[in-house]
Amino acid sequence: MIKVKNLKKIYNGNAVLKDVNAVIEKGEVISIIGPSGTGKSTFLRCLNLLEQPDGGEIWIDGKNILDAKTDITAIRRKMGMVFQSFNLFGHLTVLENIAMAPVSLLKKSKAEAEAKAMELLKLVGLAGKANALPQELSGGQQQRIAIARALAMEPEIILFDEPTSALDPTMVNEVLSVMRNLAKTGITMLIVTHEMRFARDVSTRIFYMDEGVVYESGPAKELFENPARPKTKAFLRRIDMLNFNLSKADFDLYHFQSQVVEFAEKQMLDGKQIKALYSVLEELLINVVFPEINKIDLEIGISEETKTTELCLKWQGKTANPLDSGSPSGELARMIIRKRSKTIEFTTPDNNNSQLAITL
Amino acid sequence: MKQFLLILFAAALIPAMVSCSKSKKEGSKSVRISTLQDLHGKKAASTTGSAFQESAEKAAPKVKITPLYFNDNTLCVQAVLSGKADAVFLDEPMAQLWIARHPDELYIAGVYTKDEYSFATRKKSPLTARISRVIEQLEKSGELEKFKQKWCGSTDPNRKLEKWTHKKDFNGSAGVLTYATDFTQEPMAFTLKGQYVGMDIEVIARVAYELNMKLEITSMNFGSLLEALLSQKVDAVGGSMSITPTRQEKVDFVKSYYQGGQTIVARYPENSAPGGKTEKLDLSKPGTRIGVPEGAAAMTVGEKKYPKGKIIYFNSLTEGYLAVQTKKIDAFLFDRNSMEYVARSNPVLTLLNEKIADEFIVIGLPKKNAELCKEVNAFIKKYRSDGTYDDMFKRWCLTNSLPAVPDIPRPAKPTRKFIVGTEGLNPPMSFFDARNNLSGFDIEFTRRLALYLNAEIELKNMTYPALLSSLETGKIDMLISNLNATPERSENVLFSDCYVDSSIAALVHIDNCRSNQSGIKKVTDLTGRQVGSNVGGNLHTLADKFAPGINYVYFTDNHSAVQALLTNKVAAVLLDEPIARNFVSRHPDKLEIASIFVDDNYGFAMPKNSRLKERASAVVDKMQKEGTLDDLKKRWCGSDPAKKVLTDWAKKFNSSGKNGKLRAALAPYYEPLCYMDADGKPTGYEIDIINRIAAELDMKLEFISIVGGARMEMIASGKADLSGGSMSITPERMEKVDFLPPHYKGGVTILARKEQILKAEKVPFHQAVKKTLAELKKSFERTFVREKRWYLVLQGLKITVIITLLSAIAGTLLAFPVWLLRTAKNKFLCFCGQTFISLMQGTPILVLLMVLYYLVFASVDINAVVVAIIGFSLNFAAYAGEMLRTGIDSVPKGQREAALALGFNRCQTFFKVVLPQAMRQILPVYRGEFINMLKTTSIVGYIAIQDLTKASDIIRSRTYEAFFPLIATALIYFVTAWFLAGFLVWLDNRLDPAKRRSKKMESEK
Repeated sequence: MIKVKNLKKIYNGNAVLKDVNAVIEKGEVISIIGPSGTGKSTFLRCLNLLEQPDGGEIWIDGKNILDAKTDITAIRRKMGMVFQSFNLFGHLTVLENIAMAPVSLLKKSKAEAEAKAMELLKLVGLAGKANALPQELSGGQQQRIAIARALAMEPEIILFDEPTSALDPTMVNEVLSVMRNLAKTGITMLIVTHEMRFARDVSTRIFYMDEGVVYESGPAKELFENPARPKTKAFLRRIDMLNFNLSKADFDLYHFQSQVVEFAEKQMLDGKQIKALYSVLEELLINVVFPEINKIDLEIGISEETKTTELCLKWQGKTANPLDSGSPSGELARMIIRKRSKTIEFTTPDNNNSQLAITL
Repeated sequence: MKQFLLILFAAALIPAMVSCSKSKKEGSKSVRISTLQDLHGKKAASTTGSAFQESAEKAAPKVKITPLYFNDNTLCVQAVLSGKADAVFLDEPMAQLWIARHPDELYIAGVYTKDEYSFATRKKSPLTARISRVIEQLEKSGELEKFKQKWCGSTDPNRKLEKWTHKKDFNGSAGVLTYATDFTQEPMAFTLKGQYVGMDIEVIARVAYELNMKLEITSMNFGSLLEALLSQKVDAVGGSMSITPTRQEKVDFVKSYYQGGQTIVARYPENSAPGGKTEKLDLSKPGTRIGVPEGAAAMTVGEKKYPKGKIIYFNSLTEGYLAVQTKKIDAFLFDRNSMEYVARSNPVLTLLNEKIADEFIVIGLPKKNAELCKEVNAFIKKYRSDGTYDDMFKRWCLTNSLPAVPDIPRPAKPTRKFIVGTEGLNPPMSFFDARNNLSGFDIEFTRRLALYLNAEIELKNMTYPALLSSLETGKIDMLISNLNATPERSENVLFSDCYVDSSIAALVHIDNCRSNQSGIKKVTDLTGRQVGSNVGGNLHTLADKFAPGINYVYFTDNHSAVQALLTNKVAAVLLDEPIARNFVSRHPDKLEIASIFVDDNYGFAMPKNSRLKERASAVVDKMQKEGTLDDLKKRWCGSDPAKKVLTDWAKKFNSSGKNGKLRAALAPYYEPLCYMDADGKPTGYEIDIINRIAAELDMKLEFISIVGGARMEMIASGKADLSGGSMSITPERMEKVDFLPPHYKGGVTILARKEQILKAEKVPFHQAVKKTLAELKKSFERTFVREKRWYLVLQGLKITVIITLLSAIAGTLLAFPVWLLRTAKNKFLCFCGQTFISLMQGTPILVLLMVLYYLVFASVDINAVVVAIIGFSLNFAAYAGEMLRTGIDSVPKGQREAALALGFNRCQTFFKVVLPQAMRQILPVYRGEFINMLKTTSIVGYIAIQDLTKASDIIRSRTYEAFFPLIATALIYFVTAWFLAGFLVWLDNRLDPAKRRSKKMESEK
C-alpha cells in the first residue's frame, strides 16, 4: 500500500534521512523504534507530507504523492495522525473536535457526525466527556480523544507519532489499551514508539531506524528475541559500549581502570560486580594478554537490562587462546578469569584476526 | 543673522500692508509732550467749530498737527484717554477741570496762546456796545473777578446763579435778550442740579439785568452757535468762545470778560504717571505669565512687548480665558471687542484699561485676488461712512446680550459665489447662536458684503489654522473671522482694509486689577468699568459729562440692570435716587448707593397758569414744614412693607370731593414713589402726597395711569390737571409746565455692590451637598438644555461614532493584506509591509490627517469626514495587522498540523482552526485599540470636522464654564466607548468555548 524509495530529508545540512526504503502492506501494524534523533518522526511526517522530503519517492496506493499535481488533502483524509502533543482544537468541545472534520470534509450531517462521534467516544471509553473542553481533560484522555478524532475520518491507515511519550506512566496504559484494541480491528497502523513491550506485543513488524536508514526490520518476535545486527542488539538490550585501543607500550592501568569503573557505575553495576570486573580486567590485561600481545581493541559492553558485562578483545594475527595456555606465571590469572567468567569464547574470524569474548 | 533679516523683512512688509489697508494707525509713542512742537506729526483733538487748531497753526506754523474733531469736550478727552489722540486742545479753565478728574492720566503740556473769551453778536448790532459797557463796569467793580472765583476757582456743587431777575428794580421791559450757548463747557457753561450755570451764564445774566432785558437761553452745539447768530435766531452767543480773526470777519465781539489760554492737555506716557499705578497689574514685570493665542497678532505683540514675561501659548481662546479665570496666567492678550464680551459674561474677569497694541481686523483674501480685495475695500469704505459700521458696532460690541443678525436680503440674481470661512468660537464677532446657526458681527458683515457684491455666500466654519490653510489652498474664498493682520500671515494672505476698530487688550482676573475692583465712590470711578443704564433714559448722557470712557451696558428695565449688578456682570447701575434706595432696601447687605452725582428734584407738573397751582403748592410747602413729607418718606422708602399703606387723608380732612375732580396722570413704574400694588391699585409716596392734596383741596382724585413719556403730554393737552411719577424738574420742562415745590430731593445715583467680607462659614454637610447638586443642575442646564445645546452634542457624537466605526471596519479589513505583506516570504513584499507598519506607527495620527487633508487631497473636493476615515483606517490597519500577526503566531503549530493531517487545506485550516483561536488572544488588545481610536477622533477638529469634542468646545466658548462641560464630554466618550466595545465583548463571548457550551447546555435543558 505504501512504498517508500530512497527517501531523503536534510535539516540544516544534516541528512536525517539518508536513504530510507520501506514497504507497508495493508493491515500491518508496524512499530518504528530506534534511538532519538534518527529520523523516526521525520519519516512518519514525510508520509503525509507534513515534512517535505528532499529526495526519493513515496507511493501511496499507486500515487506518487511527491508529484506536484497530487491532491495531498485527499490523500491525507485517508491517513489519520495522532501526535505526541495531542493537538486537540482548543476552541471546540470534545464532540466538536471529533465531528468537525467529517462535517466539513466528508460532508456528513451534523447529527450523523455527532452520533458517530459518540460511538467513537464510547470506543475509547470517554462517552461522558462529550461536552468537555480539551484543557479540562488529562493527557491520557486527550490522547484517546485524539485517536477518536482520527478514527472519525474512517482512515485506512493511522500514523502514531510517539503517542505516549508525553504521558506520565499512569496514563500510558490507558492509551496503549486503546491502541491494542485498535490493532485488533485490522486497521493499518504505523507507530513510532519507545514502548518496547507494547511494540513487541502489538506489532506485526518492527522497523529499527538508525544511521538515516531502516537499519533492520523484521517480524516483531524475531527482532526482539534475535536482533541480527549489532546496533539493533545494542539498542534492544540497552547495551552500552565502551571502546579502547590499548597498546602494551603506553598502557596506564590505573587510568584505564578509572574509566572502566566510571562506566560501570553509570551502568548501575553494584559494587561486587564492579570489583569482579576490575579484577578480571587487571588479570586479563596485565598477566594474560600483554605479555604475549602488543596491541588490542577492547570493547566492554554492559547491559542495563541483564546487568551482564561482555568483554570483547580483538587483535591482529592468528594466535592461540591466551586463556588456555601461556606462560606459567599467568596461570593464576587464567584461573581467576576462568572462575569469574560465565562464558569464554575464542575465535579467529579470518585467519588474520583473533577475538576473545568473555561474559561476566 | 537670520533673526535680523526676518525683522527687516517684517519691517518692510508693514508699510506694504498698511498701504493696502488705509487704516489710520494710532500713534502711541511714549515721548512726553511738553510743547506745541512736540505735537509734530501727532493727532490733537478739539471740538468742532472751535478755533484751537487754527490758533495752534498760527502759533507754530511749521508744526504739522493732524486734527481730530469731536462734538464736545468729553469726547475729546475720551479720545486722549483711550489713545486715539495724542493731545487735546482745551481752554484753560476746562483743562484744569479735566486734570482734576484724571490726575493720573492727564497733564497740561503747555499753554500756547493767550485767549480772550467773549460773546459774539451780529455785526453792527446795537447790543454789542451796550453789552461791552456792562462788562467794563463789572470788571472795574471787581465783580467779574468774583464771578471767576466762584465758577472757575471752585468746585462747590452748591453754587448757584445769582437771581438777578428777582431783584426789585428789574422788570425786563427793555426787551428780550436771546442767548445761545453750549452747556458742555464746564465751568463756563454747564448744568448743575438741573439749572444752567457757569461763568458765561453768570455774566450774561448780569448783563441782561443791567440792560433790563429778559434773558432767554437756548442750548445748542458749539459748532452751530455762530450759524444761529448769523441767521438771527439769537442775539448773542457764547460759551468760552475765543475771539479769533476768522470769527471777527463774520461777527462782532463784545469786550472780553475772561482771559484764559489755550492749553495742550496730553496723556502721561504709559506707566510713567506719578503714583497711583502701582496697584494695577504690571505686565512688563519680569516673570509675569502672559497668555497669548497661537498664531494671532496678540501672540507677536506679547512676545515683543513683554520679553521679560513668561509667554504661554494657547490653542483656543476658551482655554486662555479659563486660564485667567483659574489664575494659571496673569493676563491673556487678545482682541478687545471679543474680550469685552467675555468680561461682561464673567464676573471675575475684566480688561485692563491700557491699550496693549494696535490691532488691524481685516478680511483675509487669497493672495492673487487683488481685484476682489479692491471691491471689498470699497465696501468697507462705504459702510464706515454711511453709519452702518457705527450701528453694527453698537449693537454687537456694546450691548450686554447678543442680538440677532438682522434680516438682510440675499441678492436675487447673484452673479458670483463665494465661500466664506469663519471660526464660530468668538462672540460677539463669530459664534453659534441658540439655533446653532452662525451669527455675529462678522456674519452680518458678510451678508451685507454679499448684497453689495451681488454674490451668493456659503459659510464654512473651521478652526483658525484650518481657515488659513483653506484660504491658501483655495478651499475658501474669503476669511471673515476677526482676523488680525500680522506680517507672517501677510506672506500668504491678502488683507483688506481694516473693517473693525479694535485694539489688543489684556484680560485679567479681577483680583489682579485693584483699581478695577468694586470701590466705586464717585462717578469718576466709573471710567473704564461696565455700568448698567436704562436704554430709554438719559442718565448715561448725564454721567458722560462727568466721567468719560464709561462702558455702558443697556437694559430694558431697572430690574434687569440691578440683577446684573447683583450677579457681578456690571460694576454699577445708574438710577434715580428713590428707585436706587428702594433696591438698596431690598438688598441691604449687598447694595449701596455709591454717590449721587447729579441732583435731581421731583415735583408734580401742572399746566401753566393753573388755578390750582397756588393752593397745591401751599399744601406741599405745609407738608414740608410740618415734617409730614419726611414721615411719608421714611415710611415709603423704608424696608418695612407693612408700613407702606396709603394714609386716608380724605377721612382726616373730611373731604367729600365737592370741589370737583382732580385729574392726576401718573406713571406707576417707579417704586416706591409711584407704583401698582398687588391688587393693581396705584400706591406709593407720591400717591400719598396727591391724596393729601386732593383732600385738602376738597376734590375727588381721578387717577390716570400713563407711561413715563406721556407725563408732559397729558398736561400739554389739557387731559390732566396734574402729572408726575418720579418726574425730574428740569429747565426744559419748566419752560412748558409749572412745577409744584419739589417733594423729593433726589438725584442720579450710582448703585454699587457693597464690599462683602466673606466669612468662612461652616456649611453643614447636607447643605453643602445640596448646594453642589444645585450648581451641578445649573451647569447641566447651561451646558445642555439651554439653546438646545444637547442637539449640538448629539450631532457631534454622531460624527464621532461614524468615523470610529467605519475606520474600525475598514482598518480591520485592511489588516489582513498588511499581515500578509508583513509575513510574506518574498523579501520585497515583507519590506513593504514593515515599512507601512513603521510609518503608521511612527507618525502622529494628527500629522497624518493633516497631510492627507491639506496635501494629498488638497485640490480635491472631498468630504473631510472621508479623509478622516481614510487616515484612521490606515493607522488602525497597521496596528491591527501586527495584532493579527501576534495572535496567529500564538496559536501552537500543532493545531495547524492536526488540521492538515485531518485533510483540511490551508485556507480551511486558517479560518476554522487558527483564526478562531488567534482572535481569542487578540480581542482584548483589539478592544483597547478600538476604544483608543474612538478617543483619538477628538482631533478631527483640526481638519474642520465638527465632532463631539468640537461641539463641547463650542458650548464652552459660550458658557465659559470649565468643570461641567469637560466632565460631561469625558463621560459621553466613556459611555460611547462602553457601547461600541460592547459588540466586541459579545464577540469575545461567542468565541469563548466555555461560554458557548454553557449556553448550549442551557438551551438543551
